Amino acid sequence: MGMMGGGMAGGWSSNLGGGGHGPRSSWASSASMADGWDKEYGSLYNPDLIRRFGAYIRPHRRALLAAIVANAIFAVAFNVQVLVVYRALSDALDTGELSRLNWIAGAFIVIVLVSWLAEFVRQWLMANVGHPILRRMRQDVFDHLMRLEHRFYDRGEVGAIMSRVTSDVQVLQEMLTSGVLTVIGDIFGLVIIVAVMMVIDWQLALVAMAVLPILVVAMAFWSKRARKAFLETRVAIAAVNSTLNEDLNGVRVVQSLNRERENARRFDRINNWNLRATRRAGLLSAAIMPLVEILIAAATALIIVVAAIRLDAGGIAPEIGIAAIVAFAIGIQRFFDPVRDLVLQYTMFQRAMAGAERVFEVLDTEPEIEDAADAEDLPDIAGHVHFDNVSLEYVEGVRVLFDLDLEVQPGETVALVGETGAGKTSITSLLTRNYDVTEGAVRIDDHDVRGVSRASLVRRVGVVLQEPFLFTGTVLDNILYGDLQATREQAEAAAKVVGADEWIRRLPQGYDTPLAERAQNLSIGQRQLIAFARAILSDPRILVLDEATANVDSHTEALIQAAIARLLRGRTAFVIAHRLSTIRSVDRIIVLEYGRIIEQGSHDELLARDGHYAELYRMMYAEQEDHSDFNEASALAVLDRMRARAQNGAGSAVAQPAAVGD
Amino acid sequence: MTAPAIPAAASPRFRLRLPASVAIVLRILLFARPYWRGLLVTAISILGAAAFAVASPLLLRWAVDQAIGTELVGEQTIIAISAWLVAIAALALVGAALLRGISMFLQRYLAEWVGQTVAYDLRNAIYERLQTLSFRFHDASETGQIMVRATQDVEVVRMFINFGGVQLAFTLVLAIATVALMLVADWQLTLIVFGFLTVIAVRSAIVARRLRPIWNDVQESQAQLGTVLQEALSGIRVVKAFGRHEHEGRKFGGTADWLERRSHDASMVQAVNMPLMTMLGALAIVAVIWVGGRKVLGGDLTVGEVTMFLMYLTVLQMPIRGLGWMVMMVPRAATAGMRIFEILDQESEVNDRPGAAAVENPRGHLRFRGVSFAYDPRSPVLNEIEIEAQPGELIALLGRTGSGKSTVVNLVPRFYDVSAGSVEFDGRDVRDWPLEALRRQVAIVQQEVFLFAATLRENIAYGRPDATQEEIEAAAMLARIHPFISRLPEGYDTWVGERGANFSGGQKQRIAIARALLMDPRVLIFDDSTSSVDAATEFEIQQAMAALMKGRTTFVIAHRLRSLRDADQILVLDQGRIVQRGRHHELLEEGGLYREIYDLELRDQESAGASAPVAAAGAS
Repeated sequence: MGMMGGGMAGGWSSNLGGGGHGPRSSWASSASMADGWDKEYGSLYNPDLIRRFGAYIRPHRRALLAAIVANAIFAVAFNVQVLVVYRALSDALDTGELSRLNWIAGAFIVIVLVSWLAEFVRQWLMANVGHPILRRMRQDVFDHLMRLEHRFYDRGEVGAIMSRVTSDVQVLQEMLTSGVLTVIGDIFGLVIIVAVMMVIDWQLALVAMAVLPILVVAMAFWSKRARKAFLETRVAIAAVNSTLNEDLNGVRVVQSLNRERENARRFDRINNWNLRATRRAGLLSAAIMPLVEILIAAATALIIVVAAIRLDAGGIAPEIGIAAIVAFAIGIQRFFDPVRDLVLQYTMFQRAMAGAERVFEVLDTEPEIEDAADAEDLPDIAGHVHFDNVSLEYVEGVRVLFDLDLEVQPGETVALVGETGAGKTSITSLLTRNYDVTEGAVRIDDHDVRGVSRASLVRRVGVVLQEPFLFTGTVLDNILYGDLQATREQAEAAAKVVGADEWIRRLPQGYDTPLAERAQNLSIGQRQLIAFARAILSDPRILVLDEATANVDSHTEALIQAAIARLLRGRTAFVIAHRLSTIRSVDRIIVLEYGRIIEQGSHDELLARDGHYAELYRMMYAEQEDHSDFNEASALAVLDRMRARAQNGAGSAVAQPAAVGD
Repeated sequence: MTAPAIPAAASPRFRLRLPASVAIVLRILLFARPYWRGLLVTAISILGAAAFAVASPLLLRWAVDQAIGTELVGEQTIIAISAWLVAIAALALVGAALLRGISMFLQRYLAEWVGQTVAYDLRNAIYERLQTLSFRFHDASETGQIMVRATQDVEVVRMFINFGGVQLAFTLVLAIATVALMLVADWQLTLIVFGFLTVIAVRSAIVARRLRPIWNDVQESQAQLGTVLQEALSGIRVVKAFGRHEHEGRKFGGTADWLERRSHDASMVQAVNMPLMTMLGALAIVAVIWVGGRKVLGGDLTVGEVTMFLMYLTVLQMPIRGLGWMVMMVPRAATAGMRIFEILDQESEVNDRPGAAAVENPRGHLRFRGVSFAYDPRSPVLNEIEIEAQPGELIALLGRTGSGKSTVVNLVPRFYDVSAGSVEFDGRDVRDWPLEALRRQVAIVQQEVFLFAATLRENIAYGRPDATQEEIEAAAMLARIHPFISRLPEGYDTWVGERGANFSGGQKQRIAIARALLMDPRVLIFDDSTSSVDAATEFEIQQAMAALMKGRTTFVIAHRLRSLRDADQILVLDQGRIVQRGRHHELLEEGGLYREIYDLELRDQESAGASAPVAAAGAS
């Protein structure tokens, strides 16, 4: 196609000529909001994941160990406070001696200081462990993503991949910076407070613990519902925001099609869904704390009753009984807090595990195309390219190139022409080893591309994509992308070659003008010229140019044509051409159909032959019979009926908005 | 005319003067007024929760002091126990906890309820306002900025109502009640407790203040990390083409470092602060025991009273720690509120006039009378434009980038209003038409096609959600997109990804054309809308158009020779003025700008057509 630009099936699955990926690929989630929520939660214990984490934790194992020790010290010191209060009270009541009180207060202060120090050390250590681990994990995922090849990106959507690096790693942050040690601390704390309560009065301790099963069951029941409810609120608010964002971006279409009222109705529906979801979640989150406190109160009441009964029966000394009641009143909170916490952490851990699973899934995706073990750097080359009986299958058994044999001489420019799916992009992507051939070989100056390092390969083979992608940063940064070592002067020289220097200098800050996201502050033509300058600067021997189809104003068009001519000069070039002027100027036109070369020759030769190319050419620039399969008369008839119906109701429909407006 | 606002400058750290803050906070509270019943119950439950929170320690004290009384009889301390009283005390304790739990639940739930409902109202209000504001507003504002207001700022307001309002009130009521009760029992001990709590409150406010810029940075760096990532992934093919993955990795690393550093900073502040708070709480307990213990031994206080003090200390600690955050929320809410009201207070200058009425059975006659237009009065975009288009005529607009072509056509459906002169549709000023009726008659296909994340069917029927399948297919056939759609596995139910990412430019444009055709308008406008379509497809579309344009007035902005040759009038624009008008061959002979453009880019198309072996005569 090339010439057929966005022809009948163009663009749909053609970007890489690749296999049939539907609009909802496996990772995509845009359409269905209710599906797979529970994928948010993984199983709690996954030995494989724990082992993988181990690799990240190992460099920090000393700090981690120290933190665990500090944690234990804290748990002891914090909970022994209860014991001290108890001793203080029973002693004071028993003896009435002030000196004892002083001694106990002093001991208490020591304990408080110790627990403060331990807690500080623990938190300090964890901050120093957790964040670097996350930092490394993020970088690993990113670097790995950059290494994966086109085939991977054909499958996933950018949004879905992004969330692996951002939200999935974020979920891990909670676990790594606080979660793990909180759990360990809670378990320590629980053991010690139980011990302390047992020491004070084992019978009362058992009474206090009697309420525990109720709490655990209630919490488990609650957290199961709560996590669903909270997940729904997250999905709902995401839907609200994306609707808002989309309709804001498309507001011009909305207004021109009179969709304001309909849209407001739909937005309200989503907004209302969010409202209901948040209210439900609010109900659950408001319920849990009071529930826990009621249970604590019940336990306290039970203790008082039991203590009173035993005092009454003379089972324990009075002063000790009273001291015990007071100590338990304080201690019971310290007993229930970790229990509650553990139930909450359980959910968090499940989420973290699921997040980790997804993160490692990315890291486990191995690039299919890697440098051979004995790969050498591609030396300076003349630019001779030979596709030696090349066949290619993206999906096993589905061949897109058939025994293609093509030899291009150094400095020669060939145009690839054919309909969508003919194999133009497939041919060019083999050159930079975005894919590997299934059979045959691609040779550059007699080097098989599979035998050389990719880094050296892309230095010699440049690619200019149809849609010029520019990065945020300045104009200069973007040109220098072609050669990071180049100087400012070299970049400016490259811009001069493509005729961009003049207008770049007229930009507010010249070469240092920052580009907006996706370079929205430049016209399409200007973006193309910068992409050309970038390619010039990288100075490849072999160039692949996928010409853009977009129309630009006549001045820029002239600039682009001149730039393309300079870009191709002296290089071996493969052009997927759309402009007539480009096609006419190439040395050779290769006409492809269904992955085979069916014609080749110069423009004039091919026209004279009056074959496939001549037909394509006429379709493009000459007028000819309509060939698509539809019945225009019947389509017009439908619209006529539609019009008649609209006019029947026209009187009332037109009057209506006026009435609303008043 | 309102100034097109939403300046990018109003940063989240922008600070307001106090009276303005108060006014805005009051206005936020007005949004909560419809839910005054909810707020009233919330207020009652605040009092209830506070009262019962205060009651439990009192009961415990009573239980310790009365039910289990100690008497000094001679040398011996006698413990007297009243089982009845103990039972009553225990029951009362559970009862108080139950009531407190219920009122706490009500308080939290209702606070959340009111907060979320206000957020819901605000979102709806913002959405509707944004949908109706004219192009002038949207041209001048950044989408990202508006989104921040509609999402983060609304969230800040919601949090303010929930925490800043309800929780703050609860904390204050609780603090006042407990301090009063403690004072009654013992003023010295109260002073100690109060002193510690004040230190905790002040300290937490300081920390909250110190953490805010750090957390802003954390958020900022996270956003930036997202941008780098998104860019590297969207531009992965460029990254690969130049072998720049290590370069991208370094870029990512730089931002990741910043994120790590600031997250670490935040954790450090917390690492110092949280244990300190816990320690202060514990020291307060020591102080109460030590001083209280002396008093008990001295006979000034009972054990129950000391227990009560200890309980109050525990009850108050958590709310007091949050006090810093709650107080900080007020200025934040004021700033967020200001930014939200900036949007809600925008008035669209394009509105239905009183008495606006549509012309029945419109024919599509259009007349520009001395039309001038300026976005900014100092630099006019259009000057004294005169156009008369008879029903059914094809008018082509030609000119360099920035000559004002698009502006001319945008005045017809009133995306903007003229600065001077008038645009008449069937003899009536478009400003005297009801907006909805006018836009139903004028369909525009923009240069940059915007598709919505919905099915193809929904996208084509976007302007007429009630259209039948038959009508949708008819429009798609005329736009030459039906054959393509019917070959898709899911046909018209195919999901169009965000911004139609999975379609080519030409396909998107044909979908947009189908969308416009389904409106069946009297006036059709193609704003350079066949630019991404290859010539063969464009020809197909135009063939269909030729039949369809009968009886419709059509404006075309295009650089294709064919459109120009068929046009009834060609208007050549330069710097906001019509410099040439006429038919193709007339203008060619006339020379001037038309000839210049023709020589530069149109002639090529002419020769291609001429050299083609099967050059049929004009199709329509």
